[in-house]
Amino acid sequence: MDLEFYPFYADDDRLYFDFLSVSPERTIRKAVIFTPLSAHEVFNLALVDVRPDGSICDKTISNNGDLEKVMATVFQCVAQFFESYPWADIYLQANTPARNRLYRIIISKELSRIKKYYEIYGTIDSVTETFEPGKEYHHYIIKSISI
Amino acid sequence: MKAREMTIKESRQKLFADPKFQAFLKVKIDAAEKFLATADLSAIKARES
Repeated sequence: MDLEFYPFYADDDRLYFDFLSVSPERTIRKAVIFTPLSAHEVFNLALVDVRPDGSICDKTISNNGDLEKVMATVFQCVAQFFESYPWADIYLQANTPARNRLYRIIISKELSRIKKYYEIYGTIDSVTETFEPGKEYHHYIIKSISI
Repeated sequence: MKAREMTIKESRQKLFADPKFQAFLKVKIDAAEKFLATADLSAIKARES
């Protein structure tokens, strides 16, 4: 992806990543967590803000003014995840309408580039289809096609 | 590098030890499981076959 992203760190199993979201006002630690679901080839992706003491931040919107850069960083984490788990699917659902809109915008913006590596699906009203820019999806599934 | 490695492991351990995070993750996982159990995924299965 060509979008600017934050430096990030991965734990050895590449199921846990973190990075710092930086603005003139504050710095927020963010964690990207991949959790296997009962269908073992599917992993849930969660993005959370982490307080300095290590606990989760309750606020759903951090308003650090860098959502696009944050989401670009998340997709870098997705790329690293797939290096270790190329057979897996990733499921993600946005916490908020604003974040959901941003998922859609970033995927749409990068679709021509990333579709060489990933199949992206979106779901509207429980029906999943190949992602099309401009449609308002509520859930997303990402598959690697690099294996 | 080693210090940073410890930091991310500590960060992960602290987060997973937080009951609020565990509750948050359970909600997310339950929603994902429900979605996978009920959604029409035929478009994906068609591509796989």
